[in-house]
Amino acid sequence: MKKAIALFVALVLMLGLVACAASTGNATSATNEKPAESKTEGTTPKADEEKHEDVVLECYCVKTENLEAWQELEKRFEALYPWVDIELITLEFSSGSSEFLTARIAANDLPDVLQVSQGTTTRSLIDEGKMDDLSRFEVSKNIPEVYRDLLTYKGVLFGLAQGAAFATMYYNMDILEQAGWTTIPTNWDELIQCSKDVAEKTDAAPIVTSGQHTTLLYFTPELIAAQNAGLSQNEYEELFKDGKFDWTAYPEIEAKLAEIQPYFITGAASMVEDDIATMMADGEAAMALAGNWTAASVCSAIADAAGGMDKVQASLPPFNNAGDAVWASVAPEDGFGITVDPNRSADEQLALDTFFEWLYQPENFCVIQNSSGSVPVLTTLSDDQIKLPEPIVPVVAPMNAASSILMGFNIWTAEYKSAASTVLLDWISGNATAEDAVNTMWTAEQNYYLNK
Amino acid sequence: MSLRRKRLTGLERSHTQACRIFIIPAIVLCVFFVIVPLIDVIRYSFTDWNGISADMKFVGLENYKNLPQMDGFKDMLIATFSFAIGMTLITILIAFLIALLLDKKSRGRLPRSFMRALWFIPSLLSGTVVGILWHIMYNYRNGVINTILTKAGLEKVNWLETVGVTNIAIIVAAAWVQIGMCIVIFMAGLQSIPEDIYEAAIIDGASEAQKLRSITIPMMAPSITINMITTTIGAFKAYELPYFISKGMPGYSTMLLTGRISFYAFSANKYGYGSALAVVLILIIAVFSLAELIFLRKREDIY
Repeated sequence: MKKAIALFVALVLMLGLVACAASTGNATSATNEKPAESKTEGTTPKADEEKHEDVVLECYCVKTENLEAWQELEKRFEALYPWVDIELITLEFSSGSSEFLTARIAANDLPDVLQVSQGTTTRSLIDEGKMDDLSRFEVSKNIPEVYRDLLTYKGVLFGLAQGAAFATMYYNMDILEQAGWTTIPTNWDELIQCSKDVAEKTDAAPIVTSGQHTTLLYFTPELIAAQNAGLSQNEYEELFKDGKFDWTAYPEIEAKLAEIQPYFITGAASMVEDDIATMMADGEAAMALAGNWTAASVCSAIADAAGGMDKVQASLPPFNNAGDAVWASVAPEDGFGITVDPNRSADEQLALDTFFEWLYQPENFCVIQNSSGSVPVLTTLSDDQIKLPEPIVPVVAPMNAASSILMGFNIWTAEYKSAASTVLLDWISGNATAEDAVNTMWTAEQNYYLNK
Repeated sequence: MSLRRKRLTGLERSHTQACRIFIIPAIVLCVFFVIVPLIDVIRYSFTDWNGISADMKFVGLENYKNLPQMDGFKDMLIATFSFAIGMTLITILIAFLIALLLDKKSRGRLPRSFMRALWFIPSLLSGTVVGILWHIMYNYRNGVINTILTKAGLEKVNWLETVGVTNIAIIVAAAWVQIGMCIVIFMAGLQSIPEDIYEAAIIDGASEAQKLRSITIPMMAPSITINMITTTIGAFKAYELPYFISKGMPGYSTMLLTGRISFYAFSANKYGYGSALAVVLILIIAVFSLAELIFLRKREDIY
């Protein structure tokens, strides 16, 4: 009996293996059949009529929420260029993306297209001559100079931005009305008063944000610093990079950090970015301090809780003193760059260059752009190609007009980021005072500044 | 007295030769996947390698000297030791109790097998999955644990942001994973205790507690040793599960050394420094495991 069962299991396993092999074969033949299929549609451009070797391009993007958009682009490009197979690698920051990249760097096996930031890894890659200078691409001229400069290091334009990111405050007007506010707060004092009213008159928490998303965590101190340090635009960044922006020299920063802390929702420090939409959908908070890149999900979450999109409003975070203009915290969203590989064949390089130039054509790029709702930076995009979430539209003009501070993560070193985030998480959760926060940030900045 | 080497017969010689051949793949694998990487880590720990560049400079003991200056180093050491000790003790205790309950023959074979399988399921999940799962369960606002507490009329607990409480939270989650494996080993140990010893004890009028203290625990000493050693080593090496639950918060109070090794090697581009920390962790594990082994083996000898 036992032998019969063992024989049966072995047979099942063998059949399973054969079935797997067959399905792989089918998949392969399906891929091979694709060219013929697309050719019949008549969409193959002239370049594709030449004979090319089959090429696989690895495209690495650290944003799983854009996966559908990327798959759409992959389909479009492969239909146009059947000899090119795009392989998408999508990993969230939190799911080991940096470990993945470091391992691939160590193995000297970098993906062809790379999502890049201004972080130390990218800088090291440029130092090693492993990132291509994108200024040779015609499309690079369609990105405004300010965004090109931000993604240039040692004269190498290593990335083309995929959009502009800025700090945004979202409001559930239904809860604000219950607290006696028919309009949104426009300055710091109103924000604090509004938070107080929400806390006293409703069941909701005043403000939700995500401590686990370091960019969002840093919005509050950097915007308070921008509004209160009396610096001109770009001055903060220059001081910060040299470890000379003294957080302890401005008592207003510490005072305001202490003033706003009690109004953050309990548990904010351990919340991930997705939790913001969840909290807003559950009506747990009146205001959300988040990025414009999550506008689509946050706005629809608020609309669900409040009963309609007309109850959703957004603005730049009103951290300005009464009578002062509001500042914006902005950054180019991570860009895309291409890696240098001396072993690439001519066809592989051609495929890569073609893909990159094609990617930044407005009719293609708007697919990624609109999937996240970020503000466009590609000048060739026409108005009808841009689809921003409704409540974000009125914020774009003030954002473009406002003085801006560069989002902190762009000028952080990993060690500063770790030290500052740790103390800010403790501050937001009430485990550290505002004084501890500014002191630690100042010490860490002096120890780990970028131009050290 | 002269020592004379025993002459092997032809059959014995061919057996020895076969053994040598069969052991070669294991040695090759061990050398390439354990010994060489270990030597590499030790080598990197004396350099300033950033993990990317082709160049690295020998810096001697500088990385080791700088370790105590690391932000939160003391907190991380305390977190690592408290996690390892806490998780080991809780896991062993609960697993032993459950194994005793499941071993009762009167409970029937099917329910016992079912319960054993049920307890074993968490051991099959990856640390990342379990970490995310427990992170969601511990959520202050809408986590299932606080929902249960609220329904029971109790106050919500901020599991992920309270010093001390978060340490317990990650220990509980890690123990939940490890318990199943320990139960299996304990049950194997329990089943190997001859029934006649218990029968003799019953004739002598021993109570249940006396049987447990004087027969079961001493006879289970080898199982306890193996469970203690494997759980302790696993706890010291744990990375993804505690990290995905608490991300090291509050402060550095739940940041384990493994998390910091990963940070320096992969995020801060200080591979040499991270390697030095890894070497320190290897030494800690070796010393701790050896001490545990010596102590537990002595107990086994006593019994």
